[in-house]
Amino acid sequence: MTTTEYNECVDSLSDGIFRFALKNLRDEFEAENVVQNTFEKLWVRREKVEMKTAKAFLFKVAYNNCIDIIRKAKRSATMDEVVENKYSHSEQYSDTMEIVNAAVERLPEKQKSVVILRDYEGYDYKSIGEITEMTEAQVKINIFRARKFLKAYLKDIQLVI
Amino acid sequence: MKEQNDIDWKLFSLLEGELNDEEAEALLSEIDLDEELNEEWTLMQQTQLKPDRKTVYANKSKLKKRSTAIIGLLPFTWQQAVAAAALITIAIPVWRYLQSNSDIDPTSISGSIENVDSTNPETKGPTATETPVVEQVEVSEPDNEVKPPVHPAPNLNYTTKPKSTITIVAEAGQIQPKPNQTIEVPLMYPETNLVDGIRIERSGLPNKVKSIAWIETKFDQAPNRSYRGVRPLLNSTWAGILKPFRNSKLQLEPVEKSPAFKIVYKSDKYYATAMLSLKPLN
Repeated sequence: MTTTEYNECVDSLSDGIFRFALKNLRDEFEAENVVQNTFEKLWVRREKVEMKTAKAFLFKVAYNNCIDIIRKAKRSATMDEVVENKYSHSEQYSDTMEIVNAAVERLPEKQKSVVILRDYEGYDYKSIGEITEMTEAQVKINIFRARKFLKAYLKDIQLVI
Repeated sequence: MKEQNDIDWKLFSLLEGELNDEEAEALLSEIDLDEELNEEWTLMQQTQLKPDRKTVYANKSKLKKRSTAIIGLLPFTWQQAVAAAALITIAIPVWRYLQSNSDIDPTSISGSIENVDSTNPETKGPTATETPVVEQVEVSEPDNEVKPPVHPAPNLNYTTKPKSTITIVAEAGQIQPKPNQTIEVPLMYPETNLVDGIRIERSGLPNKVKSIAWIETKFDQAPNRSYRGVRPLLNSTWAGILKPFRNSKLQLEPVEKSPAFKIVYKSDKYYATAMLSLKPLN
C-alpha cells in the first residue's frame, strides 16, 4: 500500500471506523483512540496490507481493540450496574430510532458488533466472520438474536408508551 | 414460544434477503393478510440500524501521512526539483567518500544536545563502515552548571530500516519521560531524511510491545534545513505512563553544525530530547 492509498483509506474509512467504535464503546475519547490505533497499525503494516483488504483489516483491528476496551471496563463494573443497565426501561424516547439505539446499548458485545457491521457497513456474514473470528453460522445466529432482542425491546417500549 | 421463534426466524430471513423470490412473495402475502404478523414485520424492519452520517472523525488530517520526497519538493518548480535531485545524487557519494576518509568522524555526537563534542574518542560513535543494526544509546552528563540537570537516559536499542519506520525499543519502565532528559545516539547520515516516521515502543511484558509514541517526520522546508511538524500518537493503554506526554509537542529539530537531528518532547512539566542514529542506507 502506498502513502497515497493509505491516505485514501483515512478519507474513506476513518468515519466508519469511528462510528463503529463509538457505537460499541459509547465513549468519544476511547473511540478516537481506537481510530488512531487502528490506522497506526495499518500504517506500520502497509507493506503487507493491500488496498482491497484494507477495510477488513481496519475493522478487524478496531473490533479487537473495542473488545479489549470493553472487557477491561467490564472488570471494573459492578454487577448491580450491569443488571440495571440491561433491564432498565426508565428513559424517555422521542422516536423509534432513539429506542433502537438505546436497545443496541443493551446488546451483548458480540451481538452489538456484528449487527453494527451488518447494518452500518453492509458486510455479509462471511466478511463479518473474518473480522470477528466467528463462523458464518455464528454470525448469523448472533445477528438473529440481536434483532430478536431489539424487536422485543421495541415491542415492550411501545406497549409502555 | 417456539411459534414466536419460528415467526421471528422467518421475518429475519426475509429482512436479511435470505429467502428466494417465491418464498419472499409468499411470506409478504401472508403478512398483508395478517395484521399481527404485519406488526411483527414492522418491528423486525425497525431493528435495522442506520448510521448517523453526521458523526464523523474530525482529525483525519492528523492520521494522514506525507511522503517526504514529495513534500521536500513541493516549494520548488519541477526544474528546481530536477536540479536538486541531481545535486543530491552527486552530493551523497561525495559526502560518504569524505566521511570514510576523515580522521575524525564528524557524525559522532557526544555530550548533551546543547554541547556537542565530536572529538571525544570515548563517546565517539560507530563509523559509517560499521553499519550497526542494533546499538546502545550513550548518555553523558552536562558540563555546564547553568543548564538543567540531565537525567540518565534509558538504554535504548534501535533498529532502522531505510525509507520506513525506525523502531526504538526500551526495556520496561525505562522510557518514562523525565525533565530535561537527554538521550543521545551517535552517527547520523543524511539519508535519514528519507525516513517518514519514528516509533518509540515499550517492551518488557510477555509477548507484548506497546507503541508509546509515533513521531512523523514532516519536511515543510527544504531538506537538510528544518524538520518540523512532528506529532505524537500515544497508545491509550499506556495513558498512565505517558500522561506527561499528553498534549505534548514533539518536534524534530536540526542540530547546528551536525548532520544529526534531535527529537524534542515538550509538555508543561517535561522536556526531553533524543538524538537518533540510523543505519545507513545500503
